[in-house]
Amino acid sequence: MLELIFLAFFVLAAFGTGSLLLSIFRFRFHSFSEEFFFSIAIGYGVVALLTYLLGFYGLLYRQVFTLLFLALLAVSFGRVKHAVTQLLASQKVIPKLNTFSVLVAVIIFFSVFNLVASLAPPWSYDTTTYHLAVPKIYAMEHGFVALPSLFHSNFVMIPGMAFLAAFVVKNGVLANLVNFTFSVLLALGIYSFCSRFLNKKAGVIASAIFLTLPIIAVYSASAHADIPQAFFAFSAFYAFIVWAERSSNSSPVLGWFIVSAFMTGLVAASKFTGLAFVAIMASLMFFYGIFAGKHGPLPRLLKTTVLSTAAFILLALVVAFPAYLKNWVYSGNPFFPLYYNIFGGKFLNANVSEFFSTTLQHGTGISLGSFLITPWNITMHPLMFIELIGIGPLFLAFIPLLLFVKRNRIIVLTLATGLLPLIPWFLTSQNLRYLTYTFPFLSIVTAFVIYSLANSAASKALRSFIAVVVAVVLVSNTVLLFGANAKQLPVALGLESEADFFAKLKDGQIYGMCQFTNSNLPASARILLLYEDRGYHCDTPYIIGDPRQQAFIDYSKISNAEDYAKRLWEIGVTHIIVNKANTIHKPGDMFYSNETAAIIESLIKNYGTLAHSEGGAELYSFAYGPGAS
Amino acid sequence: MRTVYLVIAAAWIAAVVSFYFFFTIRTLLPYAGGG
Repeated sequence: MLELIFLAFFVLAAFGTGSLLLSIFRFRFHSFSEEFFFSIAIGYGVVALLTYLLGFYGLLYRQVFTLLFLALLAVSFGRVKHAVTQLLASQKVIPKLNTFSVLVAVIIFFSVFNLVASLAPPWSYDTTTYHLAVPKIYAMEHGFVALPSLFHSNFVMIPGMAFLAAFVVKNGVLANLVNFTFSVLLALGIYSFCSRFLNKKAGVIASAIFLTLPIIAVYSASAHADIPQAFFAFSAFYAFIVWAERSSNSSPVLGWFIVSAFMTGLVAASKFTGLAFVAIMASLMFFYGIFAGKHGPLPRLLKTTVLSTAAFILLALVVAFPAYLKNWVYSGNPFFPLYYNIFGGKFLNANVSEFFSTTLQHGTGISLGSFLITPWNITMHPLMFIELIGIGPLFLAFIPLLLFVKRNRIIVLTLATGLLPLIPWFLTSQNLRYLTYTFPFLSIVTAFVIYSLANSAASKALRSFIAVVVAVVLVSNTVLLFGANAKQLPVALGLESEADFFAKLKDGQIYGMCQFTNSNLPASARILLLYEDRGYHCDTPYIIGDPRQQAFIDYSKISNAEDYAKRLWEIGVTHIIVNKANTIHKPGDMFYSNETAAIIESLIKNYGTLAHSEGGAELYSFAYGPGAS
Repeated sequence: MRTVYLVIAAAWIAAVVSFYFFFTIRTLLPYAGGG
């Protein structure tokens, strides 16, 4: 619970930093919610970029971050005080939204529920494999280090830097909480955008739709890169619209352009998929400049538009550069593990790179027919896109009805920004989670259609019908929220021990084993994890032995147990954890072939001694080489 | 809004939501009850 105080400190320091920077350039805002949203967006971006810098220089110390945050709070104290006053005053506004108070209550309920759920210890697969596992190691090492067997450590990770800052300040729970703030702040941004360009009631509907999407509810309580990426993507678009519309209340015009490019850069530095968003924003800027911007002779218009678009792309890439630079420094490949044939890469080979590309292949193939039916499939069959619960039915039910209501330029641009990412997503990796950054846009368009239908001259019966449909979907989303995240509540509230929580998950985590190794292995120990990637809970240095997702241990050069033992001895392995209780990796699966599984069995038989067994996982001490008995 | 649009809109919404619940329940049923 102490983490909540640290969270307030973290958020206010980020807000203060962003607010101060924006005030220096005399930004004017339409509302306090807009000011709050952009200040935090800038603040989070600055903190993440500073963390990259401190990581490069080996300065990831709690004292450094505490001093940094205190300094940021001190220089922006006036701004922070103003914000706290405004926040307290804004509570009075909520009752004025009378007819929408139910939706406001839903927003508050989902927010509080996931705030509490975020207090649980990190548990989900990708979170404990890399989203928080990698920041934890960097925090323990006080800087970036090469992690040759942690494949994902060389992905771009701006959200990971925000999590790392939280880790250095406190722990993984604070990192989880920071991830949570991205979702509620994004809901605030959606409301603020709608208030400015559409109307407040549509804003409440859009925020409620977004926050209650089952996939958002799941990932807002567990640190991943997707919601932070969506947050930056939406802020980029929002700033672009303010810049493009050039309203009298939006000075400085150039400032909004820079904010939009800055945020677009952060999107590209959040996940590799964000590079497509740079292209989408650049296209938006170009076409807006030509068709909807200032009037003038075409050659002049073309020249201005091309120059501003080029400047936009350049600025975005400069902001994204540190993320790609880190990958290049530590892996030799800025796009690790992709494009091995062009960039190569340390601890990588063609097989691993190719296998990674294979693992990205999900979905329904890339025919035109399957593309056209994709909105139906992602709504009805999220499992095809490797998500158990997806996006609910509201996008598909209402967005097509935009044809029946009066549209404006803002809503068309919002829809375009929400739909265009479908193309690169469809052609590369059809993982539903990778579309998260489109959901704020689609939530707004859905809300706009609902609001327009309900307020048009449509029949009273249709209005009531829509109200019932939305209510039923919200109830269903609440049931899914409970199904997905209620298991975290007892441990988060201190009603259950961490050990009981992990035992309850039944996904074969090595939490208990890590507690044992943390207490019993010497500081010089180095663990090899087999059939297991989730090393987050282990404080002892570890190597992931996955045969298909790293080449630090190059299995193509291992044909028997002795070859394997020799390589383990070379890289200093002293212990081996074999976790056959893992529900994801099993002997004979696509990662651990039967041949590899047989070599592992032989290795354990000849060079391992069982030291401990817990929760289906086994710990062996490993002995090979001179002096081994 | 013309009546024909109203009918199309209502039918489309009802169809999408009905199919969604059908497929979602069918997918999630095996997971219900801690399975």
